[in-house]
Amino acid sequence: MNKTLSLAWTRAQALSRRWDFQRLFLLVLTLDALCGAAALAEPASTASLLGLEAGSATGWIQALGGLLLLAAGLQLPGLSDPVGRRWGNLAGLLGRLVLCVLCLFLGGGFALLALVQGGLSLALAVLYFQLFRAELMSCP
Amino acid sequence: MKGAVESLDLGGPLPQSDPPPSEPRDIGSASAGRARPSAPAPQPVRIPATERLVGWLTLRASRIQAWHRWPFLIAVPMVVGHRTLMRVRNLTDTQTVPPPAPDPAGLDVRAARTADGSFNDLAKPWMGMAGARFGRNMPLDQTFGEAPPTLFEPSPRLISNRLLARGAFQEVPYLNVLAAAWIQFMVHDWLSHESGDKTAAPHEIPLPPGDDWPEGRMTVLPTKPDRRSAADRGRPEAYANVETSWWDGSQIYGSSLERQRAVRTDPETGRFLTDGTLGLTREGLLPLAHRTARGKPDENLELAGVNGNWWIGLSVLHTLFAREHNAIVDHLRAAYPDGSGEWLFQKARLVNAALTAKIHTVEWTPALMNSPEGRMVMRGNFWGLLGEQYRRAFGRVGTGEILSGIPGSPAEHHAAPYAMTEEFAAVYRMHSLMPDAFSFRRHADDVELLRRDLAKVAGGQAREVHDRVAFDDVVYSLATAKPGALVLHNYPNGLRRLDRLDASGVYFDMAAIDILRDRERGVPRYCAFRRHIDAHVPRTFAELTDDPVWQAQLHEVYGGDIEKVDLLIGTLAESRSARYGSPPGFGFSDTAFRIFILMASRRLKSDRFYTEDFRPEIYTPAGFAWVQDNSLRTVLERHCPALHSAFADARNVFFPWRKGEAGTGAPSNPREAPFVGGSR
Ligand code: HEM
Repeated sequence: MNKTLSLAWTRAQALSRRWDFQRLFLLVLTLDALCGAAALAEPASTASLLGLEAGSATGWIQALGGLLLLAAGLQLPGLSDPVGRRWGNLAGLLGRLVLCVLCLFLGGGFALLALVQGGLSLALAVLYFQLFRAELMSCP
Repeated sequence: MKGAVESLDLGGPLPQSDPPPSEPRDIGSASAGRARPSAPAPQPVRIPATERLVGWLTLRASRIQAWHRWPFLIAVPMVVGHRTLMRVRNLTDTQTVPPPAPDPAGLDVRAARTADGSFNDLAKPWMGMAGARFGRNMPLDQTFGEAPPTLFEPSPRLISNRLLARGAFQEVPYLNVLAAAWIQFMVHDWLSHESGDKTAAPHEIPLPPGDDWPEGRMTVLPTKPDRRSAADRGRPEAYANVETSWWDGSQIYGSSLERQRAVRTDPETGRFLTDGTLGLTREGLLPLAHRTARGKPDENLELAGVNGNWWIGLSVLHTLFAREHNAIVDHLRAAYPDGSGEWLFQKARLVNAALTAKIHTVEWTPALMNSPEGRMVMRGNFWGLLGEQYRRAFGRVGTGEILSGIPGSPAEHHAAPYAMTEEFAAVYRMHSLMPDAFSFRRHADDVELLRRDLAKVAGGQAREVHDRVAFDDVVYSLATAKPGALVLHNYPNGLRRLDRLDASGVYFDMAAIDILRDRERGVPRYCAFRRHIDAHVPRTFAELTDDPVWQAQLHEVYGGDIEKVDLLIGTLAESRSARYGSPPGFGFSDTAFRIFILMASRRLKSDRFYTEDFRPEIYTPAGFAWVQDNSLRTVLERHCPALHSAFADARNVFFPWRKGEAGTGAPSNPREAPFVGGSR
């Protein structure tokens, strides 16, 4: 029998795509959380890393760190159930895209952040799309 | 509805690669010289602004390439866009004088389906009822039936011989024969024309030279048109649908109170079953009617709401869903012990019909549209973009059909009152799905028990199969066999020389009849048809199909005139056209798909029992949950538990099941097979 017609095979495919996505997503969320924590705890060093004047920007940096931590926390349900909580994940991907464009406009140290975010978002989007297709093709 | 508009201008029809014919129809002299029909006042079409935008974008994108050649994220919205366009342009009303809706005789029409389909739309109770007319998916002036000589040009029999006759059987490797039976089971729910008109002169189909057709002539009775009134002046013939057009299980329950009483009669005692169940024999088989619903005698023919064109596949599905009805009655009785037998029957009918609608939408159709796009579109129709899990956990979000699907959204008929259409019947002429030979085998070890050709499993002979092979083994045999592919040269020869049921020794050729009926009923030919559904219109035979042998054959049969290609032939030929034809993974043509996506949505969207009244208050909480919790897989698990291991690994139960292994099973005997399908 053609294996794409088999429930066990298509479910295994979907599961493996799910793990691929979850692994990367976990990494990305951990990075987000670490960055957020660093921004909260060490706003001055974070500001200098981004090429900003430490004095005036620390408040903003801390707010950004808090937001990053919050956003990472809000995406946790999507990590554990990426298909069932698809709307949270899609919103997360969109949010990353917006953040990436914003960072590009800000330039300086933010450009590097934009590149990293952009690359990770793209990889996440590709894996998520593959997961979505595999899930769909494991349905009747 | 938010963002609604009264009418929708989406920028005119798609520019075609070749000019449309100058006359309303240049095929078919019947149309020539007729008055242009006075257009009925079109119903205002309310389309949300976002869908309007998607429709407009679809029109632009489809000028570049067909929807299925775009990537997933563009293809899926394009399907929605095509549906939006067709809801505005491809629904034509033919009902000049609505038939009177009968008195519902005390039935609570808000909470139950009437036998004849009336009172579904409470404002227009005649809508969709048995006897109302078929509508159209084409502009009315394009639907004048063809008359001789064009009616016979080229001869339908020549087409049957040269383009349709099956050579080597071409199977669909990823489907089973239950899929073929299922679609006929559904068609019998939705539509049927009246029997041929015995008072009119028969059509005499020209036989090509050297044809070995018995008696040397082929005659076919014309379709009986609906009675005309003064309001029909200048308009094409219209035909009545003798079944209800609704998705209401009328193939199981019949389209009249009389037929409903017949299927609710105990075959042992001949008495009406007051407990709400359907009649089944002690073995769990259908009672015997010995005649069709139209009165044609046929020894041993089984009883069902619709039992015409019967064969073993239909027999299996009718048996399963009669058992399912009874299982639902049992379940409802346990939940609502005070419910009367009549109340239980009506609720079980609602539930059973909704279950078949769900199976068709999220199991059968995705099996034939085996691609991520096809699956997404059909699951989206039922559960919306938010998906099944979300819908079940949180219910609907808003009233739109995109996010949460059609069931439970407000009813809407779009441009015309709800009716099945001639064009829909035409694209569902899928007789090539039928195999010519059937092998019945034991599920335990796959040993062959009986081998029969198509004619010997049809009509009353289907029951003989049940007498010799256990029900489970029959189901197993159909589910492990493959149907025919919808391609040229694959029309079952058993249907090309079919014994007429009522007069032994008189034959008919269904392939020729399929061609003749579309022409007679004014279904536009392939190119004209595509012109009206925003699909690319082939200019040459090479654009119609990539197969050079088919191109040459088509060229010869149609005298080089691509405009003459019949709809059925075009849809089968496009199976081998990568650019414009059947989408990848699809078992049917893109042409048919366009009509399906319009009509499949409409069957749900127009029906009060799938929209405003698709709720626990009407279905009962236990009944509503039954629809949500069940599928064809669970129906099979309930009524054929011994087959579980055969379909356990089939992703879709319309895909071929695993075959039993030699030497593993005890012999099964039909008399020993236990009946586990709920109460009789
Ligand atoms: C043993 C199997 C079958 C038999 C004997 C059979 C026979 C027939 C006959 C006698 C007609 C009416 C012909 C006429 O207009 O004079 C018909 C129509 C039709 N059949 Fe079949 N058929 C079979 C299977 C199928 C299947 C598998 C499909 C799949 C969808 C199908 C779809 C249709 C449709 C759509 C019509 C047109 C109905 C109408 O316009 O009223 N049939 N068939």
